[in-house]
Amino acid sequence: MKTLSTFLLLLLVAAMPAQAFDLDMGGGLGDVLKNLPIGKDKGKKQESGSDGVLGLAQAANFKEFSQEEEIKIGTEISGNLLGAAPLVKDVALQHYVNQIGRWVASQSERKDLVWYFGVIESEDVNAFSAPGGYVLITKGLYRKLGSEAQLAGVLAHEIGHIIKKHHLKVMQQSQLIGSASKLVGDKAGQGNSFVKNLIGNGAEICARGLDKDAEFEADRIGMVLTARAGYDAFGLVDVLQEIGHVPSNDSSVALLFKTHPAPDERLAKLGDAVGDRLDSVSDGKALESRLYRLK
Amino acid sequence: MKINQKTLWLTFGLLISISISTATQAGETGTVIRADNLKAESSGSAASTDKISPGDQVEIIDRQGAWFKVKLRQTTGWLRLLSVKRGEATKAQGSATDVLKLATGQAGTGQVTAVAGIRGLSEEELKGAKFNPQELGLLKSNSVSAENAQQFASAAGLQVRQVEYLPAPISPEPTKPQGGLGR
Repeated sequence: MKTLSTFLLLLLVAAMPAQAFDLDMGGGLGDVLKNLPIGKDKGKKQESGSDGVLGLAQAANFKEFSQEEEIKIGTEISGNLLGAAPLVKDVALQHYVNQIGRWVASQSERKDLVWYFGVIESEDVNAFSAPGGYVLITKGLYRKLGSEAQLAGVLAHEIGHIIKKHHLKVMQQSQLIGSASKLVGDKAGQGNSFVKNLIGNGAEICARGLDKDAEFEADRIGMVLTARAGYDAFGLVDVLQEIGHVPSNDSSVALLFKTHPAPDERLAKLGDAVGDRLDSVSDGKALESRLYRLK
Repeated sequence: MKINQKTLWLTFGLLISISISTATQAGETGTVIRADNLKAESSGSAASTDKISPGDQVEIIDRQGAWFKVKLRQTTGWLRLLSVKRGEATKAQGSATDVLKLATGQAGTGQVTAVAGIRGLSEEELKGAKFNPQELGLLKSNSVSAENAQQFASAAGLQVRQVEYLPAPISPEPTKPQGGLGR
C-alpha cells in the first residue's frame, strides 16, 4: 500500500509545473524533488526519451527496494529460471563454484548478503544474476572456461549487476511506465501481482537484458573484484575473447548476444577504461589446474 | 527421431570443436583493436619500439598477466591484452578436421555427455518457466560462508589486493563494434 501511494505521489509530482520543484518541503521528499531531472535542469537531461524516464526513476529514488524486497524478487526470478534449467547434479561442482563466487563477492561492498551460485543444465553460453545475491552460470559457458580466474571473472561480472542493483533500476523504470494504467486500474496492489508486474512471466526478465551501460559497468566491476580477490584480473577478458570466437548465428549464444553488447565492443570499452590502471596488480593468479572439470 | 539425434550430435560436436580449436594460444594470430605502442618489455614504462594501429595482424607468442608477447613485422615485443583480439578479424570457425576428430572420438569423450540434457534458453522457454522450489532449495543448500570461501582462497595462495573501481571511460562518440560480430 505504501508502495502504491508513493508511486501515485510520483505521478502527481511529475505532473506538477516545473517551478514547483524549488519548494523545500522539508526532509527527504524535498531533496528528492530537488534532484528530479525536470525543474532546475530542465531540458538538459531529457534529450532522449528513454534516458529521461530512467533518469527520473533514478533521481526520484522514490522506491528504493528494501534488502528484504530485493531478495524476495531475486528468489522469485531464480526459482523460475531453475524451472527452465535445473542445477547440474554434481555437488562438488556446485560447492566449488560457491566457494569462488563467495570469495569474489566478499571483495564487494555487499559482502553482507547471503550469496548463491549455481551451474545450470543448459548448453547455451550465458550467465544470469538476480537481485539479492543470486548468480547462475550455464554449463555451456562453464565448459569454455580455462582457469579459476576466468570463472571468477564471469561470476564477478554478475556480482557487479547485483551490487549496482541494475535489475531493480530497470524494474523501477518499467513501474513508472506502467504505473498510470496499472495503479489506477488495480486500485490496490495484491502482494503477488505486484511482484509479478515487476518480473513478468516466469524467467522472462532474464531474456530482457539490461542496458548497454549496465553491461559495461558490470565488466569494469568484474575485472576489479577479480583483481581484489587475488586473481588474474584479465580472466573476464579471456572469456570475452573466447565468446567472440563463437559465430554470432550460433544458437548457443543467441540469447547472450541479444541481451549483451557484442564481445568486441565490450573489449574495446574495457580497453578504454583499464589503460594502465591495473598494471600494479599484474601478479594475480590464474589457477588453471584448480579449475573444477565437468564430469 | 534418430535423424534428429544425429543432427544434435553434429551441432554440439561442432560447438565443442570450436572450443577446442580456440583453446590453443601459442602461434595464434591476433588482430590489433586499438592504437597502442609495442613495448620492449611487459611494462607500461618500458621503451616503445613500434606503433600499432587497429587492423594490424600480430602473432601471439605468449601471455603474461596483462600483456601479450607478440611478433609484429619481424619485431618481437609486448602489447597490452586489451589492445589485441585473438584470432583474425573474419575467420571462419570450426573445420572439417575438428568434426572428424570428434566423430572418431579423438576430441575427448568427457565433453559429450551433456547432449542428453540439452535445454535451450530461448525467450519463450524462459517466459514459460515454472517456479521450481526443489531446485531453489538445492541452490540455497549449496551456499558457503564467507569464512569457508576465504579458507579455500588462502589454500591457493590468493591474497586480497586494494584496487579502486574503474571509472567509466569518456567517449565522445559511441563505440562501434569491430569485426564481424554484429548483432
